[in-house]
Amino acid sequence: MSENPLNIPQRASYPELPDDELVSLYKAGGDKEIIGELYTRYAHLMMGVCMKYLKKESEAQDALMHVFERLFDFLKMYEIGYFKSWLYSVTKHHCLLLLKKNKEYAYEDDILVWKSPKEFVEFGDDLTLTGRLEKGDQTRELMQAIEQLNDEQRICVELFYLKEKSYQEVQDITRFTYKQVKSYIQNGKRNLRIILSKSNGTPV
Amino acid sequence: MERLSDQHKVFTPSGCLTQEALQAYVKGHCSPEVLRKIEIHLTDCPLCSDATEGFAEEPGNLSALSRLDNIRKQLFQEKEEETRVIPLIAPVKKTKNRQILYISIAASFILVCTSFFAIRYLVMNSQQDQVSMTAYQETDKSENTGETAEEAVPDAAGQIISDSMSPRKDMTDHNRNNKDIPDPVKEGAKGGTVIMPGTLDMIADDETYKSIVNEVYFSVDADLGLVELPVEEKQVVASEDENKLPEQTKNKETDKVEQTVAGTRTNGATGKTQKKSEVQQAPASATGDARDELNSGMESYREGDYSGAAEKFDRALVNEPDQAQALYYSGMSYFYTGDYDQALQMFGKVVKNKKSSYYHAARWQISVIQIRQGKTQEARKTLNAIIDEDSPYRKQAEEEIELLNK
Repeated sequence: MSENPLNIPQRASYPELPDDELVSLYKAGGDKEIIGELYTRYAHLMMGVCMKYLKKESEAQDALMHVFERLFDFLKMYEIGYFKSWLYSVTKHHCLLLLKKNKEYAYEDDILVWKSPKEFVEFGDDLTLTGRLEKGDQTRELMQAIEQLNDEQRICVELFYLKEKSYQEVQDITRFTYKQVKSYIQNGKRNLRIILSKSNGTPV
Repeated sequence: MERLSDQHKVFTPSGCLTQEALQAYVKGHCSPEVLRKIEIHLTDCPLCSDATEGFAEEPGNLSALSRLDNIRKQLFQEKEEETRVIPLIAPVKKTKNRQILYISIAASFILVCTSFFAIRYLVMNSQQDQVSMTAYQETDKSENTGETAEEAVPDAAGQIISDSMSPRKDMTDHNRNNKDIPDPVKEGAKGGTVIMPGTLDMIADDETYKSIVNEVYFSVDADLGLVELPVEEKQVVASEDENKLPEQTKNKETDKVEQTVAGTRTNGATGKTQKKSEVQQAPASATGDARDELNSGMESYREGDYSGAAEKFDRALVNEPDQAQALYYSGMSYFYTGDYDQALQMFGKVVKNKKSSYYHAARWQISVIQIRQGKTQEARKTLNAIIDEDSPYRKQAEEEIELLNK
């Protein structure tokens, strides 16, 4: 049996590992297949993000290439807390930099973004709340918090979580656009978390 | 089309949408159960939320996903190449940056072409030099007078001259720069020989050319573009003159001058009409006397009578004080007699005119004298100037500086 001092798993097992473990393994061994696995997981989503901000397919492709090229080196160089959040932040900021600089790209600015993304988005920080809403939790505390939301957010949250309507059905009922429905639900949920944390004195 | 159901893989190990789920969601091809899962996930995941929004705005945008495999190949191929070798040219990723690659290729092509023609030019020069040398050698064999160059030209210039003045290429290059001077290759092929300014001294130590020194008259000013007659032709002309004007044979000096002029006319008949007219138009009085003295001085110089040559050159310079050939060979005569100061004075006058065909030779002689006099610093300056001027003596100058540094 061959020695494996770094305890690096075989390639076949990479798709089964969570992101954080893949990042740790890459920092330790530098196996490019790990980047390949991360590409499989995120390239299509990053392409969508780039399309959202840059609009043009060719520019989105270039941006995707740019981010992944740097991933090979920067993943080893910088401490990354939550990979998915970090990746989303650097991708989004890269696109915004391209727009802001009118495509005259400033490399130094880019480095700053990679080292410390300004908007470090916290993913899945409210899984507890999502679980409660998803399970149809209609406790007094939660219902009072929903009542404190503004009308648009309240209506969308109630329809989506309590009435279990899809985005399209909420659109049909409220005449809001797809973007508006999504935004009202996301912002309403964020506000709910704030309201609940204030009333309980602990984060939700 | 089949709807995406729970049986399909909706989420990656990271908890985000798979490519299949993303496409199905944007196209509206999800079962109600899967749709619910995806939309709940979208409320928690800005990455998937932005991604779906990016594609949902324009369904045609989904075609970008078909290029992901190509991007992956390109990405990993480049990384693979980077780990193998250090790239000479930075990897080209963007379409617009490909222009840089094309420009680089074009520049490389031009560089290769330029190098090719430069090498070809050098090779041709080298071949011409070889032909020239062969012509000289043939002339040498066919016109053996029995007198050696060592007898005619003593080794007064010493080691510096004999070592450094032997290369023929510099002289042939020098010849080509003067349009009035016939091509030595052509003249050599016809049996004639061309003598250039400074040639006598430069070839003094070269065995191949020693005999030529004895066989050729130095009565022609290269600045005027006149061509030397080989000995055979001069003898023929002289014998004809002797038959017609026997009284003139009493005066050898006069005969030689006339022979030279006649020889010039002979060559003029073969195509040197301009030079012929130049000779004919020359004033007969003071200029003629100066030329007589010059020719006479060259005769003495050839015979090794450097003191006599110096006197004749000085007389020639009385009427034509700026005559470059007289100045140069006067300098050389003083050099061989050991009167370095006087030689320096003469060479100094020559180098005042940068356009003179004796300019580079005179400058080189100045450096030689400075080295002989032990004026190392001055010699260095002169040699550096020779190098900077890209003189035909550049190579020799570089060698001398190396020797001085040792």
